[in-house]
Amino acid sequence: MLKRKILIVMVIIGTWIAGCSINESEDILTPGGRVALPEELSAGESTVFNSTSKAFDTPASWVTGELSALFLEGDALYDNPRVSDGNPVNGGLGPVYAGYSCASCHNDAGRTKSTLFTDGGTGQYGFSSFLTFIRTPNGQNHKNYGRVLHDQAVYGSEPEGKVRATYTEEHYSFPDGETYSLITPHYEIYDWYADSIPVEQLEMSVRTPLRHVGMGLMLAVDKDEIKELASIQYPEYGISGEINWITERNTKQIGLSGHKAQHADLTVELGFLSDMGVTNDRYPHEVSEGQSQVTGEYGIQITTKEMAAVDFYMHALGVPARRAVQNETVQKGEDLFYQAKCHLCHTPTLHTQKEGVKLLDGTNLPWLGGQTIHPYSDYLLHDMGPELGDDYSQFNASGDEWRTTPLWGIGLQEVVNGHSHFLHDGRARNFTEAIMWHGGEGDVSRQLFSKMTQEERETLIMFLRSL
Amino acid sequence: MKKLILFSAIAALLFNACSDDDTPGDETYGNDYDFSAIIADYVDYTVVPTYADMKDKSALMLGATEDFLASGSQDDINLACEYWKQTRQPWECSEAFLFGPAANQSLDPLLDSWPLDQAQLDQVLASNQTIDAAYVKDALGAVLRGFHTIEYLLFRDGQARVATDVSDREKEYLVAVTEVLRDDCLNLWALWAGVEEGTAEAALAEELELELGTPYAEILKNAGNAGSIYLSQTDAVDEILLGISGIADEVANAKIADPVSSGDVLEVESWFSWNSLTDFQNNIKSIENSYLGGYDGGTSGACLSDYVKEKDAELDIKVKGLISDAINAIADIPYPFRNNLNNEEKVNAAMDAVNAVAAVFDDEVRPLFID
Repeated sequence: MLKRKILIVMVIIGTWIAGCSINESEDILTPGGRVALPEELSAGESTVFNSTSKAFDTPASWVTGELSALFLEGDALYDNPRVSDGNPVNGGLGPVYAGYSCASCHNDAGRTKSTLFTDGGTGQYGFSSFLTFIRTPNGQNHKNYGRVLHDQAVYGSEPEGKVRATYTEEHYSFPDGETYSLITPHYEIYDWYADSIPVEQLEMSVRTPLRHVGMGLMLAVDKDEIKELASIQYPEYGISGEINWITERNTKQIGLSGHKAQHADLTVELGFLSDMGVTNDRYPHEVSEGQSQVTGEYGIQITTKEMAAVDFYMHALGVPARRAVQNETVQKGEDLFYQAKCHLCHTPTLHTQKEGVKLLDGTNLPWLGGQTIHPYSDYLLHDMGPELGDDYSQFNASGDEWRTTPLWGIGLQEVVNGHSHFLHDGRARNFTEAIMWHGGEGDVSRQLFSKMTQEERETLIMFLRSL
Repeated sequence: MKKLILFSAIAALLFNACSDDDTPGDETYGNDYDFSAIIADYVDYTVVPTYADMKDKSALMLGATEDFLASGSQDDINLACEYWKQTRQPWECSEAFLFGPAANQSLDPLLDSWPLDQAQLDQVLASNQTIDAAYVKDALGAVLRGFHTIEYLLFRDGQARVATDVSDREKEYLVAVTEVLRDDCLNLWALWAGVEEGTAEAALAEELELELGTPYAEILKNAGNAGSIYLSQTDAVDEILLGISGIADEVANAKIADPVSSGDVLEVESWFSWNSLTDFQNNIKSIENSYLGGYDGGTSGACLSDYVKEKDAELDIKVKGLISDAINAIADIPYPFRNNLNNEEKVNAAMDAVNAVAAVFDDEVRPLFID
């Protein structure tokens, strides 16, 4: 409200002082009332000035009035646990599940710290916050199981299995002598509730939750710009991005969300069903249907209106402003980011389509349209080499291919979620390790980063922390 | 303050309207005031004492539930109920600082998960399953533990249950789940404060295999220095400020507003103890403690109020007034909240008063700190 008043005054004065070509009506003000610098505006009108633990969980400034109420409703549905059927509110959990609320895995709209990192997944009722995809080598569901291993169950049912991680550590040195180490995870599923699946019959991919930063803007992105990026190749660096063309709701579309860009929406309906066991209008049958422990029809356990509120909430989350943009180290780090060619996949700037984006229920969000955004991603697939591969293809994405992770907000993950585990299964424990895991199309950047001095590497990481 | 900002914006435009040079002089997104003392005293005199009190009270509650298991007496369940309220008090007084370990170690959902999964709990109670703390912690999920599970076992209709109505299985579950809560309270306190070797807390932390790492107290105090996860002190202060407006927003627009707008008593958080009005007031006390420093009458030290007073003494007086108005307006809703959802006058007055606290922090206090 305050901002609007100031904008109006500015426009009036701007018009009043003849001859000036200022364009103040576009200005966005910080909480302290100054005009934000362009470098700070990660997501145009959806930028929020918040570098705290709530940085990912703050509504964009255009969320006012009735939209605020809808945002709060979606936020509560995202945060509050589902409980089993037979309870008066928030029912529908299970019988088997992977998470008990969206926030159980996406704490504060980020990435919950996993017990896999601390004790291999054995403590605290084995709640991992990860999703483990399983299937046969032919891409089919195993008998008695679905696409995801549900490692939790309500009382009276058995978890489908439990995931255990062990890590082996190897030590390395940069050319200048600084040392680092990488840990390689080894995953094992045990305590199968039905027949154990032998390793040779099992394709699996273990994945950390994504940060829910800039999800609405990602869906609003100008698809022609993505196609254009996909058409550009950098043979000198071995880089060529590829669109994951997916088919969803019988429509061929550009995949944008998910570690392999395997989805074209924010998977609210799929998440409620597949992750929590909460049936809904798009997926009315229990995820564990066909299992002996599913004893009947459960009906629809979350309303379409409630899912729309969650969908809106996720679209309306603001993106944290960049910090310390005029700090010399950060600026030097930005130069080094370009020198290491990181920007060829972690594309700094994209634009959203003029019309904004439509929610699942058809409501259009014009505020997400016509924005200049800085996701640091091309949302394309890149071959990251066999070290990171999971042999788990999805649509066009092969086992070694992954979607470029958007870096906006990454500098705040540790503030929000208390850990700095990165990459699709969190195996990198900090920025350096994440960069040093880049193989395949990322190998050139890894080499260039390696050859920098320790100070330069730290400077580049300071830039990442400003995102 | 709004007027002041408007004036500044106008003045800036008048003087710089035709110039490109209207960017600020500040090099970073922050404030170069030295907030070290305010952050340190906030941690040492507000956050840590609040969690220490919760840890101590939860141990007393565990003792009382064990006594009740042994005796089955009305006096013992009454005492357990009293300690539930006494443990609940520091927890609600901590809700203005739900950042750090409470959030990133998922202790908030483990301690205060809502709603309770009563249907599952009833099945566990009806089974032959051996119930102990390890079973509750490692075999059952987040929705079968925490304050609301204990509340269900101890209270009915705002009163301690009739002792003879409580089954043996319920008593076993009560002791087990209270032990888990005691452990979680210890964990939360230790994650902030760290444990001193040789103390009883250190021994228990070791027995529970708690992974404590760098105490969050140090992380927050170290904000802006190399090695801290907070790039600037302003970020740490902003945690405190947004924690304040965040809980005010939640009390006004969710905890009070949701059941009032739906008329559904099941949306009132404490179904069995009817403790909601006390909880809400303690949430606002959490704001007061964060702003004025201290906890429960203890030392206050340097605090946000000092800084605000220095910048704008009238605003400081206004903020203090709005905080006490909010506490009073909640106290003015007739007890119990669940039976007064349609008391529009009192309920709206409370929501307005609490929203005014959120607004003054977001719109007037925060701009004094954040560039």
